This record gives sequence, C-alpha cells and structure tokens, in this order.
Amino acid sequence: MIAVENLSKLYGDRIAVDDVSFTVKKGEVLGFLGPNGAGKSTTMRMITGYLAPSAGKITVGGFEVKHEPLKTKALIGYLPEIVPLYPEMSVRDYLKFIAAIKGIPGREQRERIAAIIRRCWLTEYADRLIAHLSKGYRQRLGLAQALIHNPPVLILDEPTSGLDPKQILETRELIRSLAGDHTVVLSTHILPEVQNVCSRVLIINAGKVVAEDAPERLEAKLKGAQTIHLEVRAPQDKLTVLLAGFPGVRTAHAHPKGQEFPDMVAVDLDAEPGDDMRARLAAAVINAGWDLLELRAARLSLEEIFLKLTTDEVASPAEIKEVASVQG
Amino acid sequence: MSKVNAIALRELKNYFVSPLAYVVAALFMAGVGFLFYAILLSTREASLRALFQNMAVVFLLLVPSLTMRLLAEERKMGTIELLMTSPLTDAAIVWGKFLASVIYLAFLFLLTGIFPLAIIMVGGKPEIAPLLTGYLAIFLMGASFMAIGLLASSLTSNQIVAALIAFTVSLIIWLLPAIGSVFGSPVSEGFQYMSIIQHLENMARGVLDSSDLLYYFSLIGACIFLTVRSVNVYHWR
Repeated sequence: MIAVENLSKLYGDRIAVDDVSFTVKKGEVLGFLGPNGAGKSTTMRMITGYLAPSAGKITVGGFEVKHEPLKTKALIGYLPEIVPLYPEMSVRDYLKFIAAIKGIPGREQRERIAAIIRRCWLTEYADRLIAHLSKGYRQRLGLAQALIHNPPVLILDEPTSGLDPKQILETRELIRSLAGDHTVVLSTHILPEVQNVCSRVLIINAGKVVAEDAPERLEAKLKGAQTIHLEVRAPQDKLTVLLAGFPGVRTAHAHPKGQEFPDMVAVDLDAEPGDDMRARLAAAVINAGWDLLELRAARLSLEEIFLKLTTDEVASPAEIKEVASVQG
Repeated sequence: MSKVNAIALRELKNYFVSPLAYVVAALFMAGVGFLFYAILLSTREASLRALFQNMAVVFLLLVPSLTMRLLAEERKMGTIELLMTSPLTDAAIVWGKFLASVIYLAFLFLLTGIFPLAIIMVGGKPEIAPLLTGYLAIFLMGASFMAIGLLASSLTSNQIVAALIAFTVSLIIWLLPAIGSVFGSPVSEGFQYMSIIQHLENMARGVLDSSDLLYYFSLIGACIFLTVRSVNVYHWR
C-alpha cells in the first residue's frame, strides 16, 4: 500500500532522513520507533506530501506522491505531531470544515460527523470550543480529523501523546480495530505501544533504519546473549573468581549490595546464548558453601533493545535512569 | 470549488468571531465618516469623489491588520500542515483566503452605503455613474491591498512582520509617481501607470477605462500567483 524507496531529506546540511526504504502492506500496522529527532516525523511528512523529499520515491496506493499528490492525499488520513486545530471553532464546526476539504459530499457530511464524534468519544464535547478542550480531547479530535473520510491509509504521528492511561488504552484499542481494513503507520517512543498495537516495527535512529521486524521476532533476534541476575551472600573477590572461570559466562559485574546488606553481592552476568546455565550456577554457589538469595534470567526487553540500537555504547542502568530523569 | 468555499467560509467565521473584524469596521466607519462629514462641509458638493481618495488612505492603514494572519497564523499554529496534506491544491488554499478577505471587504462597503444614502436623503442628487465606478475602483483597490497583504502573510510566520511588509509594499506602490518623477519622462509615465492611486482617480471621475480595470486585475493576479508560489515553497523547507 505504501512503498518508500531510497528516501532522503536534507535540512540545509543536516541529514534528517538518510536513504530509507520500506514497504507497508495493506492492512498492516507499522510502528516507527526512534528517539526524538530520529527522522520519524520527517518521514511521515514526506509520505503525506507535506514535505518534498530531497531524494527518493514514495508511492501510496499505486500513485506516486510527487506526481499525483491530490490522489495520494485523498487516500491518507494524517494526524500530525502538533494536532492542527483552530481554537476558535467548535468541535462540530471543525469537523464540518474537515469534511468539506476532504471532499466528503455535502449530503453525507452530517452522518459522517456524527459517526466520528461517537467513535472518538467526543459526544459530550461536540459543541464545545476547541480552545476549551484538554490535551487528551484535542488529541482525540486530531484522530477524528484523520479518520473522518474513512481513508485506507492512516499516518499517525504519536497518536497517544498527552493522553491519560485510560485514554491511551482506548486509543490503542481503536487503532487495533482499524488494522485489516486500514493500513496504519504510527510513530511512538512508547515501547509497550509497539508491542501492543503493531504487526511490524521499524527502528529509526539518526535518519537511518537500524532494525525492522515483528516486535516478538525483533526481541528474540536481538536477545542473543542472556542476562542473569544473581544475589549471593559471599565474599566478593571469591565469587568473582568463581564466575570468571565458569563455563558459558561472557562477562560478570559483581558489586556489593549496599551498606544495609554488608555481606551480600549482586552480580549481573552476560551468558552465551542458547545455554541455560542457571541450574549449574545455583549448584556451584551452594557447593561453595554460600547462600543463594536470588537467581533470575533477565529478559532483554524491547526497551533495552531499543537503547542498544539507538545508543552507540550500551548504557548502564544507572545512566539510563539518569537520562530518563533528565528527559522527564 | 466547494473546497475553496470551505476555506473561505472558515476564514470569514474567523474574522467575525475575533474582535478584529468589528474593531476594523468601527475604525473604518469612524475614519470614513469623519472624512465624509469634513469634505461635505468644505466642498458643499453632492459627490463622493474626494471621499473615495480618502478612503484609500484608510485602507492603506487598515488592510494589513486584516491580512496579516491569513497564512502566517496557519503556519504558526501548524494548521497549514492540515491544509497541505488534505486533497487541496496550494492554489485552492490561497484563493479561499483571498475570497474571504474580499467578502469581508464587501461587508465594509455595505456599511459605507449610508453615505450616498445620506446625501440623497438631504436632497442631494449625486451623479450615479461616478458613484458606481468610484465604488468599483475603491473596491478593486481594497482587493489589491488585500492581495498584497496575503502575499506578505505567506512570506513569514510572524504576523507583525507580515503586516509591516504589506504596509510598506502598499505604500511604495502608492507613491510610485513621486519616485518615478525623479527619473523624468518616460520612466515617470511608466511609474505613473503603476501607481495604485492613479487608476482610482480616473475611475472616480466616472470614466470606466479598460486599462484601469486591467491594472487592478493584473496586480491582484500577480500577487495571487506569487502567493501560490510562496506557499508551494513550504513543501521544500
């Protein structure tokens, strides 16, 4: 339904999107995942025909965006990152305007508007001024605007941003219900959203596609090395020696558990893939006469994969927390 | 065409839900009303010719405030993205905006209808032909200012800057004969023709000359054309 070939976009000297290619099949829900400034919005803006690419070709529904923009635009419903609303209009007037510019015939407009107001949970707000809507309801109205002409293709730029948890669930449910009939491309930096909603993920970093697969497969593929978390009551130096010589262990980071637990050591170790060493590890600790307090295999979450792919070095958990608190 | 209407209708509603439309209308009527009174007293002539020329000054001052937001605001608010990703041509967006401003202009003119009525009611017999051509001329002139303002609004996302550009460009076109006189004939005659006020004077005398009409239509056409090009450039930022 959407085919993007060797797409690039330059802003002056800065490369925002760098030779990106992908296709989206009919009925698929594709998730764009990437840090801020990775080129997600720029790519979407080029698909919708708002921005012209510096190089490359985009076709939507068999029409090339560059040559037949009116045809491709008619096929697309688009929710931009900044929801395009006119604050001085009421919700109903705004949707009336949208219906008209999307080319919905006059006699169908009333019905469509009523239906979309119901579908996007805006019934009680239909006659309010947009200026008086909260962020969550503005976002819903943005979604209503994108869906009103029942377009076969939906481009949603961070559709759940600014919503409360309940609204997020409702919106994801709505997007899931669109899959099949509609082809959806959505961007997000919330990982559970991708796992929840998308049938395929495209991870973008610095304008390039760094990974592309189904969310589950991506996880499995990148999991590779298994991580094991271990807590033992033992002298740290001896434990380190034991682990260093343990078959199957790649690296082990031991550190004291803290002052409240003077003789406890916590270890994070990377194990060779495909080798479940947990039983052997437990036996070794017990045989050495130490107390095994905790042993668990940490699943590499999509979040960690994401960080691994989009940061040059693998950040330590402490650093991640630091970054998160700065961004938050 | 219905899409152009939709854009124009939204724009008109925007004019009338903001205080701007009423403030401008009030200032316009106060300014023109005062001029009407002053001119009538001093000339004792049942004609609006002098008034038309003075109305032009009022337009010069007020029109930039009406046009400054047309495209600049859409860009600032990000709503231009909505318009430019809808199945609309860039030209449809621009024409819709222009149509709305011309309709607002017509509304202002409707208000000034009381001036000729006042003359007739006190027993004056104004000549109808110069009245009609004068109205047509001042209307076309207002529309030209609107088109210049629309172009200015497409050049920036800052409304104040848009208003200043519109005012400056309008003023320069107005003052072209003075600028041209520096160069002497034939340059000065060319500049004379290009002046926006020259054609108003011709038409207010009751002479309907195709060259005057052509002037206004080509000025408006050129501004609209350039605005469409300028909007088109948004795709390439």
